[in-house]
Amino acid sequence: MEKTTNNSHILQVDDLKVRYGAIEAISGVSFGMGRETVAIIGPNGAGKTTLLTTISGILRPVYGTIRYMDKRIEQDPPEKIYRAGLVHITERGKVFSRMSVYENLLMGANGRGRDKDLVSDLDRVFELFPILKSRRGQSAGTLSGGEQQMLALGRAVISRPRLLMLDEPSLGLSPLLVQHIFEYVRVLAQDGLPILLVEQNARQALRVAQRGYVINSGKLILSGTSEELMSNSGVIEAYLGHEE
Amino acid sequence: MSPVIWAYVGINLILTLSLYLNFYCGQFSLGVAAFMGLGAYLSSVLTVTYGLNLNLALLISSAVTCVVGVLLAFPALRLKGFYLAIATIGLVEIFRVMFKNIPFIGGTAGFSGMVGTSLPLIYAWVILTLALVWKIEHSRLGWAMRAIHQDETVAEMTGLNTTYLKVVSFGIGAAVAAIGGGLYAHYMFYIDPDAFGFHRSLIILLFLVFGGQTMWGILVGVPILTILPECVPQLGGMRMVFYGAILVLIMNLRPQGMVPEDLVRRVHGRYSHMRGTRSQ
Amino acid sequence: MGGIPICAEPARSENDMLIAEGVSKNFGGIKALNGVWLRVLRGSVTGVIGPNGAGKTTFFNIVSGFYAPSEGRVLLDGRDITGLRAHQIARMGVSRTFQVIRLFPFMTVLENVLVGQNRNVPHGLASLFHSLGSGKEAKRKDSAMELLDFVGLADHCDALAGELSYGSQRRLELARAVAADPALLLLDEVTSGMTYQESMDIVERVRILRNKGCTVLVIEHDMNFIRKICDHVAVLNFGCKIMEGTPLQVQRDPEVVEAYLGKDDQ
Repeated sequence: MEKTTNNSHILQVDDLKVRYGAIEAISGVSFGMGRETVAIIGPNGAGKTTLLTTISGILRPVYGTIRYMDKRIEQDPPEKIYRAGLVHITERGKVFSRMSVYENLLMGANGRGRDKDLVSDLDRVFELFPILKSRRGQSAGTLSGGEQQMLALGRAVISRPRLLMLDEPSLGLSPLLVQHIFEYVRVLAQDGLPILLVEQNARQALRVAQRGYVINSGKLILSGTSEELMSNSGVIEAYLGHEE
Repeated sequence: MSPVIWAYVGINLILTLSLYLNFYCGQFSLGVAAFMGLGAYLSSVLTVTYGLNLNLALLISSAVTCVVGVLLAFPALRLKGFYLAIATIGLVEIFRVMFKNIPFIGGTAGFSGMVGTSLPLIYAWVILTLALVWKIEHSRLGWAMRAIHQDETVAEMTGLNTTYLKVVSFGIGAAVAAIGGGLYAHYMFYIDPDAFGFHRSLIILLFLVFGGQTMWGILVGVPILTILPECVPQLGGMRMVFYGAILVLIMNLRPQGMVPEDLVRRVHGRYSHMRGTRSQ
Repeated sequence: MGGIPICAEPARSENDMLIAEGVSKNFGGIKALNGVWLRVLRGSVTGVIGPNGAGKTTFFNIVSGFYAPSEGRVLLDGRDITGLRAHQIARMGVSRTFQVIRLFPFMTVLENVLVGQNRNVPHGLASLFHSLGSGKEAKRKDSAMELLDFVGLADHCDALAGELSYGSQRRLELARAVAADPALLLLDEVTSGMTYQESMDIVERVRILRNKGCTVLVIEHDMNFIRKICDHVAVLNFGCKIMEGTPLQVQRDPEVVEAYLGKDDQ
């Protein structure tokens, strides 16, 4: 597909091919992003999750390159990529179910140490997700699905990422919480954090992102600014629906 | 190769199929040695002390063992996975001590005098057992058991009475183990309680794991592991060392076993046009 | 504010498929459900919405028999099913799907649906005397294939369930749940993770099922879905039912907006 050169100094993916067992899940994907929020939308099984897990190092591509801050990372182990600031929150955010909510958040600060910024970062997370504050001593396994999602997002943010990849952050959340999450994404983006967002909720994703791609069957079939995509009739038909 | 080895192969096949029936339903019960012992002693007493025909004795001892298995199933099957395995190992030891303390069957001195088996007889029972297991696999009962194995909670929610089905698998497993035990006793002419300790269950477990937890795997794995140590006569009493080494090897090199389920599925898939399933 | 006031005891009628009377559930110190009264009309599609942790899935778990309520009763078609085991309730015609997909991963797509039929078909020791090649089984296989057609998975009938894409797995769960011809179908966030188009397709499936006489209860976060198919909606928050009414009434209720919907609605 297209290779953007001015918009690619944070992340650049070229001609990526990924196999999942016998299936080619990603068939030659190329895109780049700079200090912006980019959304990737598309149907299930299109390869959205596979793309993120390949970038974060959990899967290895069979072909292609991934450049993060101008360094090639496609062969690096996931811990190395995480420590470099590329943080990936998986679908249905995973939490450490036997640890408390508070301990889970602290796990995000593993590379940081207890600096005073940590306290204010924690306060910020609690402010945005008051449920987490009220359940801070509870073990994370007893939270509902949506609450665990919030916890995973909070933990990732505490780790002070330099590129944040979110896989369906709104999955299973009430409309109110979805708005909260995207508010937070907007706030983080305003702070200058580049965000790569994979989302089922195309409307919210395109509202918060500057640019977007549509992925289907392992290929990027459409790209453009959010406005362009939101007015594209094919996108409206399949992903946005009509306003009632 | 002497017929003795093939007798062992046959008996081990039956015992491994007993374990397989439990694992098929997701129940990691290692009680096979206990039920083997029970079947061995019951059938031996019936033929030696009461002069019954061997096949009849096998059937009766199998039925009784099945009932015992069913009764034990109710408390046992409240346990899951690891805990069930430990509890059934305990069961094996309880039975073993029990056998030691019953003078009627010889206690520690053992029981002897059993005759009447022959290779064809053993393999007749092997074929019957294989037919039973095959039928279970190809019936709604087998599907239900597999469903319980893969997700017991969901199985229950689709209307399967999981307690009943687990007890059935436990009971049939016990009955089959009893047949194996009876044949073992009558081939060996002599048995004592130490033949039915938990090391027996562990060896059977090795057979199952080595084979890959499928019927084909059992048919391939049991003969290999029974015959192989005999090819190294120097081993003698060090058989357990051999089995331990095999276990380490297989866990490292091929943990899914020799003939795992996906291999069976793939081979079946090549011949699916012969089965009349709906094609793409 | 429209809808039925919260604490009035609903009048019983022969038209109720499901009645929940003061259902509460405690987990240790946590009260997950607190005196929920709900009436579900036969042949209706009723939505259950509410913030995360409000107790919606707990409610489903009690109705389907995964556990018994700490207080209260549940009546299915007039019969008290409180405390019955899950498979007994399933036999009475209740099917469900799960918030997190729970298929039988190492069985094929077709087998998953066939197992779903099991509650109406002998599957115990007696089944050893039946043949899988019999005429009855062939008919059951045809029904299963029809169901797979219904959800659009007929081409994948021999694939392993664990290998399907997420959306396909959800549709398979639906097929399995419908395989036993349920009178009451519980769908727990069935459109979670689906695109708009896929969700609207599910709306059509549910409509067809409702027209066949099935009563459907859905937990959903997708208000589009709720608006398009639900006759009636109940809202839970902190384990209590705070409101119920038509989708439109519920959407306009200020308390619901504040606790759950938020200001801008998609």
